[in-house]
Amino acid sequence: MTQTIELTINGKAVRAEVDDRTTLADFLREHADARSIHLGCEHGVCGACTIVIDGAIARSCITLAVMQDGADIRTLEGLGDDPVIRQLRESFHHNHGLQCGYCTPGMLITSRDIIARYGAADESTVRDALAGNICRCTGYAGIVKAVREAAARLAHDRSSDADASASVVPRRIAGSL
Amino acid sequence: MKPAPFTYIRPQRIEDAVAQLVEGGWDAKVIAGGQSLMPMLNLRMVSAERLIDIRRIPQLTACKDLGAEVRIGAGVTHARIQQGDIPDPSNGLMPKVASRIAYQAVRNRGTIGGSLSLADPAADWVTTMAALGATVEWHGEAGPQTGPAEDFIQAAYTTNLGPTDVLTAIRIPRLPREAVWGTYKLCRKTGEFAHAMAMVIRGGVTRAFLGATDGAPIRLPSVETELQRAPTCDAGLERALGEAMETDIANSSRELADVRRWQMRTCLVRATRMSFGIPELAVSA
Amino acid sequence: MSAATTKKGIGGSILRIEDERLLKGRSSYIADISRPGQWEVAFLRSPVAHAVLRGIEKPSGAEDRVFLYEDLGELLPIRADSQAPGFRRSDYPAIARDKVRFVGEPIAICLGRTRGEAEDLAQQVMVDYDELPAVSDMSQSRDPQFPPIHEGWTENVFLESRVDTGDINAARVQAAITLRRQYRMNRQAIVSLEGRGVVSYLDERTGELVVYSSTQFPHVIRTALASLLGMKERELRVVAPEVGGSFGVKNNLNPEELALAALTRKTGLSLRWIEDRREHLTASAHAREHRYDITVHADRDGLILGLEAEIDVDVGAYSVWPWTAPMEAGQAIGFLPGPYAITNYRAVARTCASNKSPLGPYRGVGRPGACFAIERTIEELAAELGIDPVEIRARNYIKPEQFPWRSAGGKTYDNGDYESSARAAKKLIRPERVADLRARYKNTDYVVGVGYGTYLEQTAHGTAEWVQRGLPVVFGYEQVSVQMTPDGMLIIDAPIQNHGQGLETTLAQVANEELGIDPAHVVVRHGDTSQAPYGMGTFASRSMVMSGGAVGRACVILAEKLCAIGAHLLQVEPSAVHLVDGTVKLTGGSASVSLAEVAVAAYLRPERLPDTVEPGLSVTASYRTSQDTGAWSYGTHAAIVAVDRGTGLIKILDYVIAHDCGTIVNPMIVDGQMMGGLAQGIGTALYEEMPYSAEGQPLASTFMDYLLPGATEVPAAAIEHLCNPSPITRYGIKGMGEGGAIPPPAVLCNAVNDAFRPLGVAVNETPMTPDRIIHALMSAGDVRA
Repeated sequence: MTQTIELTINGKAVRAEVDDRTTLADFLREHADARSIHLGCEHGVCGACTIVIDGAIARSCITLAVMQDGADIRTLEGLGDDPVIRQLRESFHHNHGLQCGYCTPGMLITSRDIIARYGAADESTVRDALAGNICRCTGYAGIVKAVREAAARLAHDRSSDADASASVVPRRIAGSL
Repeated sequence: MKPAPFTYIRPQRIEDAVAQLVEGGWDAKVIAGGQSLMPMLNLRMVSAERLIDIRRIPQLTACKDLGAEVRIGAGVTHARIQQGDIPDPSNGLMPKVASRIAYQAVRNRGTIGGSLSLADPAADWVTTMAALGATVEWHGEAGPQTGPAEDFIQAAYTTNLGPTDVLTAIRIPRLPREAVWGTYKLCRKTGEFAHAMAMVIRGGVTRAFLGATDGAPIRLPSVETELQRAPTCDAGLERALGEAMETDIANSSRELADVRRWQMRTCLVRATRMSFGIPELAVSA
Repeated sequence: MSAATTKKGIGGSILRIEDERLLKGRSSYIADISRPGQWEVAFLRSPVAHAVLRGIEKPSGAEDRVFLYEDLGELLPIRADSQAPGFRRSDYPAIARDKVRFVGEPIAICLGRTRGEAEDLAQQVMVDYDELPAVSDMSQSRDPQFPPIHEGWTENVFLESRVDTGDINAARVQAAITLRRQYRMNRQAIVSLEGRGVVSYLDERTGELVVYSSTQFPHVIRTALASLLGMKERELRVVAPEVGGSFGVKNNLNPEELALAALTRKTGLSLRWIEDRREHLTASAHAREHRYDITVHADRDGLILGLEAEIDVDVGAYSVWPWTAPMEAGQAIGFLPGPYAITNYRAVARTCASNKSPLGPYRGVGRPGACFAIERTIEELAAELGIDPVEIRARNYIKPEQFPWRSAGGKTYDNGDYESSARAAKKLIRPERVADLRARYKNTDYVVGVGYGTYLEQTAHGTAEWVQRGLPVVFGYEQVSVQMTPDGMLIIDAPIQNHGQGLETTLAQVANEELGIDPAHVVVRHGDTSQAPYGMGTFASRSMVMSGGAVGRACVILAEKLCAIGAHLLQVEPSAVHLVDGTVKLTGGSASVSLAEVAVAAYLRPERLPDTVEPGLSVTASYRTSQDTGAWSYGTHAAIVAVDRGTGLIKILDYVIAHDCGTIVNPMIVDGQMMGGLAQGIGTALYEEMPYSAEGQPLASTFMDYLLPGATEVPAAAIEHLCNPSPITRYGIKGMGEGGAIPPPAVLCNAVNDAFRPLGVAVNETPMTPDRIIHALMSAGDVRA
């Protein structure tokens, strides 16, 4: 049981034939070389497979490739020029926000969403919003510092820069936690 | 942990989805957000020969404010409710509940209809829809049907839905302007399923429920009586709530272990305090 | 956490070289390794805990894609024999032969073009199980009602060992107080975020059987595989790719490694097995299942006169290689006296077998349990006598002038200042706050307490220690090769396996210390038995000391040659130059030549070399610590907790760490290791448990049931570094990767007990789940108001 799907992956139009049961994570890893997607549980809890689907973060391990026909997919490979990701990378590097690297792509993508939703949020909000991404190495200290530092730097840049954010960044939500 | 093979079908209309279920029998399953079903398929705890994707059927994601009630399509995601993208008949209760479901990545795709259809007793919407006195709508071979959310769940993972029924919408009566609410759940860590839960609504209507039980939420009529007559939330009310809760559990002939009743009582008292506007105690050094 | 510092050698918090590729998400973990024509493997695993296999039927039409034990060719079972007298042996086959002994034990190898297809096939294999009663709890290990798990066993116990030091009878007589307590640390899984995995294929050019494995020690795996497959070591190549965390779970010879290697050798097929989460939770090595019955004798001032213990450890169905089944209990019995000057000690440790997944090493290896037992006991003693918990420890600690200390558990501690760590922790935690907090929360559901825990971490232990443990392999040293390339940069080939510790950075820092070379000009290659000289791998907190020591030695030898050549180029004597900032420089002058110029002379322009110097710039060196008994890191952690009597949840209000790991190479990385260890310690203390049913079924097979601490469960902790350099290691470094995970269960349980003592409630079991807390409250008659 295979189908042809058409979708956009990291800005590129892609057409492929897939097995109905192939998860989006496996499809992206095999077909689009999106090996930044890591499988840590395959049941939606650990967050290592988090990517962006139609502008919203999602677990790629618990959706199917065939369900994403027509979707706009962004993995870490396609966010290299994203200003939030660039700042997050720098902050993770400076604050020892990674050790083995396995959770890191999912952490970066979720952190980008946190900054878009909550801006320069306090520590408790950041920790709560990171709850869906498990790290087994760092104890989260460096990660939380990195996200807060990045958010503060970006807020500072945004206030001194009149340009609107890129369209891939989701809109700011008033804190609802 | 890869799913067993199946055929994927995406019908355009509800009627076609139902027809697929009829044709497929026990081996046909409906999928919307997939946040609960896909883990089970990956684990091969559930099998499907036919997977029917209803996520994009337009009538399932539509919402309508009908004044005295709001009708929410079953395919509306937790995130849309959390973010206030849809009309809120609950004076803020529903966005609050939505914001505490699992994690953002799951909220972005999981749906209220999926949550109610699966009927995991710990699922937040199961208790919330009962507390709000909502009406569930579904569509099957026998055409469209409705029923109260409070009676929708028979037991864990068992609802009024037959094998060829698809949950289509939930109609939630608008709370009176003066109605206040409180909700409290016990999770061992952020985002995991609750082990105990309580929800109270007061002011114009009075409804009190325990959730995250072994099955359907438990309505607490004696508790509601106490809530109706209490002008303030003091030690006396809290004591009375505990006793009333025990009475209601005993009358419900539902089994709840000692430890669980202890924790449920805590949730009930804290939900009640919240409804009285008493901020939750923030414990810090 | 510090930003980059200008210091690039030992002591500098330089940013990690590993980060660039990992922040892009572009590396090669085992699931990224793929060979043309490879088959994906799914193991058929036993659904029952204990059974004789009466018959296995391959699905018709797919017989050539299903492989049983007899299809694997000539191979031996894994046998990890302890030298200890009385040890009962277990044969651990690559896949089950005639019997299965735990749920999850592999039975058949099934191949598919995709993993999904392989799993489909596994579901079609028919197995006839003749079920036997399963030992599901260590209390059943000596019960004759249960059949022997291994042939010829008279009881299901691998080993019983005893220690009897000093005069316990005298202690019993002299004691003013005797306390007896029982403690329980429940079984858990290890859970690296990346599971295990193996890729195996035949390299037709070299004739090698190549095995990629997400492992911590490729050379040792190669030796083991060669031995069990009857191959020559040079016919095997083992490669560890990028490894996504391990903490010990990838530190055993896994049956899956042996099975895939054997099958590729027999059939020539390229194979790949990627462990999924359910396999990891149920069938990879488990950890920490200990029970303690402790009796302590003390004088009225709290000085411990004697310690007695009965220790039981449930190690599952097989002895893991190379550690052997009794290592966990051996650690517990050896470490129980802890940092205290206890000379009268009598203990028995039983290594019990059961029909559960085999127990393997996990960060801390037995010490979290021992620390739990002794640190709970000393605070019980303190409470009983009305003595401050830090004061009672101070009375009992081994004093700095008493080192080296030969413990009653048979260990030799190199140095330490335990009292300073405890006082530093006390100063950080400010226990005087507890009274104020109790007053603040007096009429609420919250009770507040403070707890401490002092731990020891034996690191980089050498030959004699491993021999004493009775293991089949002895890990006494490390080797490293360094080579300077013609462009003046350095390649370090190290047989360690970096899996998050930042060794690609810290080993470069050691090179900077000796050669003055910029760490950015140093690449550390590791993981490939074809590249690195023989070595032991990364575990037991050994790599910074052992590999760091080897890098130091090799660089010193290289430095001599660099100076000889550089001096010749500068036309001065070698004693007139030194290495600094990537150059050979005239001491007291400005003339210099770059390392690149030296390297060009050594490789490309040998006419420029002095007559006494041979071309080339490569050195292989080994290193051992000057004593084999280990470099002992230690510290004291402390916490203030608030227990919610309404829910049973425990909130950590503050957590502090005062530790000593000697000379620190990279403070940023050390902090990271401490925090990561703390998170896992919190997991052990509050969240993680692998329960088994009476039928031997593991009950937490997904992350829905097996809870891991997330960002809201791990507080930020204050960390203070003390520094007493080790007298037995190069640079005075001590390992420290495990210390963070050792004391948290003791610390948090002590804090909970401090909070509960006024209520007459005690808690002595981990994880301290809300249900266990409420049960404890209910049993003490706590009534909801």
